[in-house]
Amino acid sequence: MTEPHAGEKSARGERIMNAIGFGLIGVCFVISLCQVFVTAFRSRLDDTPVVRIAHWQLEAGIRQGIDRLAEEYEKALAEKGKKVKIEQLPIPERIYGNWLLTKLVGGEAPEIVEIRAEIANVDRLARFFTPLTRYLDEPNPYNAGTPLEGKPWRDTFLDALQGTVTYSKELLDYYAVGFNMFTSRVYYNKELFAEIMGPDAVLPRTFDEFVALCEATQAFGKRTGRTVVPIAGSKYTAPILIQRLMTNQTQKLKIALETKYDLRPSEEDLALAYLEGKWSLRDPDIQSGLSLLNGVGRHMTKGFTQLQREDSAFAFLQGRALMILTGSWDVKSLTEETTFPVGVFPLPLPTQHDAKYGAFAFGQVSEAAVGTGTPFALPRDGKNFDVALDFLKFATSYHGNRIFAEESGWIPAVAKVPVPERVQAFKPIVEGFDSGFDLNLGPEHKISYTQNQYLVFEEFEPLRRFTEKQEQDSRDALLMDSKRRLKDHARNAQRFDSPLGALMWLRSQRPGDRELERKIVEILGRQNGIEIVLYESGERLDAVKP
Amino acid sequence: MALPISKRKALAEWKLYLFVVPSLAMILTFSYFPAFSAVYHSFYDWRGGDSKEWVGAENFERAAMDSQLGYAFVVVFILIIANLFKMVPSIAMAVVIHRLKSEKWQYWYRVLLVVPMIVPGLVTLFIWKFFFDPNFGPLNAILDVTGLKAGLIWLDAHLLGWDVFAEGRPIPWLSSPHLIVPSMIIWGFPWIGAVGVLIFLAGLQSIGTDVYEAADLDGVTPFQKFLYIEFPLILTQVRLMLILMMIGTLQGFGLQLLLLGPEGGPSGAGMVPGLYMYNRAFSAGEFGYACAIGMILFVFILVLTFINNKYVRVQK
Amino acid sequence: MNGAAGIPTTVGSNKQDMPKHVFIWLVLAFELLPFYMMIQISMKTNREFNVNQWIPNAPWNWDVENYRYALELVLPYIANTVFVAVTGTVISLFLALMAAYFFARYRMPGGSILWSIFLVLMLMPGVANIVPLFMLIKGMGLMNTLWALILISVAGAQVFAIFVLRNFIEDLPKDLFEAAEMDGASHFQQMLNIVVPMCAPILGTLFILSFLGKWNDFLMPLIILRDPELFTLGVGLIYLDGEYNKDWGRVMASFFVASIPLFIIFLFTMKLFVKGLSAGAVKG
Repeated sequence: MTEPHAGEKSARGERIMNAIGFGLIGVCFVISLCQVFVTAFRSRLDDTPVVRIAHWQLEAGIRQGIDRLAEEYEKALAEKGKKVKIEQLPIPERIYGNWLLTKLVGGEAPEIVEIRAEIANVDRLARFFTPLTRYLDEPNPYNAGTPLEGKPWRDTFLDALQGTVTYSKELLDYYAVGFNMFTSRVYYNKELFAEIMGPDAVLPRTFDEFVALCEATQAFGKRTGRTVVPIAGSKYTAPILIQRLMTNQTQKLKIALETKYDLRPSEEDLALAYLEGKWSLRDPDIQSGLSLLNGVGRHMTKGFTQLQREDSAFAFLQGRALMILTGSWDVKSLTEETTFPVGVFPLPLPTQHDAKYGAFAFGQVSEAAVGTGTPFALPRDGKNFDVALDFLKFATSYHGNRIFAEESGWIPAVAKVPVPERVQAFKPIVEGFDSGFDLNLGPEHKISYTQNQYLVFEEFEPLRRFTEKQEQDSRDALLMDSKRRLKDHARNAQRFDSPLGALMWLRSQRPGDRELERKIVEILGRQNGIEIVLYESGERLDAVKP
Repeated sequence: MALPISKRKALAEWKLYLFVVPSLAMILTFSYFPAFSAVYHSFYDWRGGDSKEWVGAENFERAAMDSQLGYAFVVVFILIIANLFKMVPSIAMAVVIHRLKSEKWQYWYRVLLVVPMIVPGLVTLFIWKFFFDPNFGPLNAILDVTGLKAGLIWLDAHLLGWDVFAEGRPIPWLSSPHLIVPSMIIWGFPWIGAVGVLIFLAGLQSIGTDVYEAADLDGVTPFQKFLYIEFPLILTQVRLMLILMMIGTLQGFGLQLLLLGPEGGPSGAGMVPGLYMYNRAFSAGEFGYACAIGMILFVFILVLTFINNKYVRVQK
Repeated sequence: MNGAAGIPTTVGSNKQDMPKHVFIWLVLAFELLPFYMMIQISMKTNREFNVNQWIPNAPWNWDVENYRYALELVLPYIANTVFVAVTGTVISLFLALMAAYFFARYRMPGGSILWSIFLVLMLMPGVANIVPLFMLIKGMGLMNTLWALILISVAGAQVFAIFVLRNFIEDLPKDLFEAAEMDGASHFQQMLNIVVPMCAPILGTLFILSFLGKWNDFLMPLIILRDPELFTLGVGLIYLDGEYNKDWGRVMASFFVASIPLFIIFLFTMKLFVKGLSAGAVKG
């Protein structure tokens, strides 16, 4: 390397190498340039309306379900001479909220988006989404020739879209339609069950039998030395568990706390009631609920509040857990990927007769109040609104929903649509009483007790430690949630000022227009409704501050 | 140095100004404007729409009381200290390569070092995520096989009380609040940055062999050689890397975003200030507050850079 | 590499070096482990992976199905990324070259003020800018376009490039410029004919560094892009990671395909890059 001759050669060789390297980049660039421009031109030349539908349902079967809906719809429209394209945008659940918010704020939202509770807070619904009330009053044209013909679109849904995500109580409007219903059940490993309980054993039907099964599983594990956990848990299934058990124990408490004679205190009411001292975490009802949680939690994977959704599924699929408590949305993934037969039964909960936990419950909780799932809403910024709305009508018609249910294996949301075989066991059980409430009383509060919830499942003085830690945290969190709600109420009430002003001006120009009058009365009514809540909650909150 | 120019000639050369205009325009639009906009909006309650509400210093007051933000700063300082230690392997590697007799090997090792850089950063990140996977990841497998897991279980039971290391249960690296910070520190083992090593090597090149020979004659041990000869002479590079590392760690959040998600992982254990800012803006929609956090972060970095410049002086 | 004119810079003997070699190879083994895992897993189906995670399959068992899937998935992302990276880098270097020329040629009046405007940016962490930048892009109507990414990255890369280039241009002999001026060459021509050829190596290194940076970027694409046709590698890989039932074979194959372009480019320009970094480090 010190000879000049060799040095020159290597320098030239180097230059050639560099030239090749950069040349390659150049070639790649030209290719990619072509590709980019082709895509750009294709989308500009092609003026077929495109409807993008975004969701996070990456479970087995769902994307195929929507694909089939898209196919059928495009075909149906092609026959009428219209061309449209439906595109799916599946986004991972973990980043969905994030992603959607950036798209909404950035003004580039897809035409149809799936929403959930955190996204569908009042502020965002009012700002970004089109209310669907008007359209839901009309019958769904795609239901012609079916038993649902002529019924208003809204009433063709099993719950008439009364769920908290599809209907906003604060805004008095419907914002989303759902594609299916979800219930949760206990999935169990039939083989393992026979091993533990014997071949003739019967599924547990009361809470005591359920606990006995769990204990038998623990004993089995110790006896045979195999690692078998009664219930596979994860931070994903924890909220389901909490919701089931807490709402069971707070049935009586909820009735005691309601003030408006509608038997449905809102989260806001309950939050304010807490701040006013009308109930606390030390109430025997709540403590009993926590104790129930601890009792069941003992039988779940250790440290499950820290495991991911995939971890619990994995444990179950590998045969290391007898049962797993999750929703009907997992039915395909959990029943078709296993080497053993899988069965399903509803989680038995303490009834009023239970010796230990019966004092606070009215009885079995009914699943009649289960709302429609996978709610899809229409952002204001979406481009092809008419086509999007039409597609939703198609998808939630008798035929459309049936296609979707068959393909995806999920429970349909539309009345009278036959439930596919594999989810028969998930049909909502409607007998029973109204549920109580759980601790999910606001976004900040949810974060605060999620951080502490692992204490409930520990061995050493769980209830005392959780209650002590959570009491103050709850107070702070609920205070923040309530204040934010007030701000939202004020903003939402204000939002009606402009349309109201415009309509009133119009009325001065066109006196006697009945339609205008009707609209003004309706909007005024809505605004007044919100203002009432605003002032009432405001007064209650003011009384609390010191 | 650029040549000085008389005012008259400068006037004649006015076209030269055009050379700097496009660049200036770009940075004014895409760097300065957003910066001023950030300062401006940090005084508003801005939800990203056209409406904003003047709240004065309320965002900053809230930031001062915000325990999550405080926690995020604690985490980032832990990471800075960890990264300080993580600089050692790069320096060690540079020294070791430098001391090799064969130049051919020196060259080839340089090349081999750059090879991992070829894998796009994202891919490395995701492969590391795979490493951390509790069920499939090699990390848990290695710990099991080498018996280190038993050691961790003992540690947990007797010292830590975290209840994350247990027999028969896969270690939940990225889902347990206690393990998040250790995961971030472990990440990237063995912590050799090709760029760093190359920079240190370049600095080491300037040391002549006579120094080494003299040291050998005096019977100096290899470690002493490092301490007294090599380290002082690469101090400029070290200082450079130090500043870059600190600024990078303070404002960095890409790693956390991809590994843990916008919430900073389980109960926000992996939250760092940059991620918190992103979270407030794009998860909670509180753009004004996010700008305020950005401002605070900016001031922090500025202060640290000044301190660094003042106190970490290098004698030639 | 030699230090000044042939003076050896290494000491010690080959025998003493054994432990050093061992150390280096140990470290390299760890560094290359992710690479190894990626390759051998990408050749397996998911079922095979469940059974055997470490040892690669025998070559005749290698499964190319994964690669078919990976290519179909990743190639569009690569095309978009190459477009953004190359366009961005070329524009960025061009603008930086012009600006550096301005600063390096003469100390024009107002030059120092302009210089400090650029320099201050080196201290400003970009982290606070993300939110307003997002709104700016929206205001400019550039949401969901690749040009937004290009423009942002051009602005971001300017300062460093100008800084480095200014140093290099100032080191060029002045008589070259004077000769060209006397021949009646305009500044632009001078820049093209003198600066570019002489600074080619550092330009090349800057090109690679900048290219690398844009290749890896994922933050801006994540919040700006919506349509899958426009996704760059950064975003595309994130989506791949979010699946519930991960088919690790496919995932790894996709990662590998995503690495190939960089791999090839680096293979050819290795020496240049290494030299450039070292030279730059000495100057810095």
